[in-house]
Amino acid sequence: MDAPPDLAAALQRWREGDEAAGEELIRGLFPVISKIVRLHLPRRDDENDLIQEILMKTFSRLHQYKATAPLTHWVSRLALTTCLDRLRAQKVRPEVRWADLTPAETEVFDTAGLEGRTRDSGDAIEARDLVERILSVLPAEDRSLILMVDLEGHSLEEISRLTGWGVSKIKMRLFRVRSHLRKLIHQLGERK
Amino acid sequence: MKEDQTWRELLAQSRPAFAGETEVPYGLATRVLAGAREQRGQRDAFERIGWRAILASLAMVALTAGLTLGVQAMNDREDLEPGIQSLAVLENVQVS
Repeated sequence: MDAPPDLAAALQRWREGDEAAGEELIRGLFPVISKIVRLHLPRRDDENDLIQEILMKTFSRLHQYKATAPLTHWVSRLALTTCLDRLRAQKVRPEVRWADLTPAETEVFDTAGLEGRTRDSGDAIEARDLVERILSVLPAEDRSLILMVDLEGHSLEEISRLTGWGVSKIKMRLFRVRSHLRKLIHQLGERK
Repeated sequence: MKEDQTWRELLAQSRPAFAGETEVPYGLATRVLAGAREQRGQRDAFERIGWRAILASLAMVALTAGLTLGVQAMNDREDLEPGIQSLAVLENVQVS
């Protein structure tokens, strides 16, 4: 995930006052930010508003970037922090109830544990809604952590770099989140 | 564990819906760059105002110091008690 050379060059030109380099920077950073926002922000929030907020923050703080790490790393951390702030501001649901699930979500849940079933590509949105519903009872940091590990496949060191948390803290938190998730999914299955 | 299997399956199923976009939406770059230009302009303006404020403050400090020292020097020459001052005037004594 190193910054492509043109991104570093665009940054240099932007700092020298080249306005066109700004567009290159946005084109290069947008996929990185979009991926993080979609992963860490619930769907009910406006994704593009948050991406714009992160890009604005990026440009307003570019003079603080020291190039000790690739630009994409620096921006990823900024994006993740902004998403976590937004998540913290949202209410954590006290519990996830079977009765709250939509018919499509109950179907996704029922078939999730079955082996050898065929997966319909149209189920992705419903599955994502269900994942977010389950995760909505977790604190912001726990929600982001489990997605970074299980969905993105980030190593503990990568997560440490992105979040600033120590590796042992991440391990402990991950253990706790997994136990919590097992309990939630078990309860959901029991309440059918 | 069955719960772990369910969780893994849910994630695998939802993965395509979590994929980010690669194309910048229309108008986003323009809005961001306009905002960045405005911020840059504000920062430059604040810097200019800041330097002017610092120079003005230094000038005020120098002026105040000059006035204080001047008044102090004048007072040093006229710091006799009123009674003694009157005697000095009566006797036409030169006080330096």
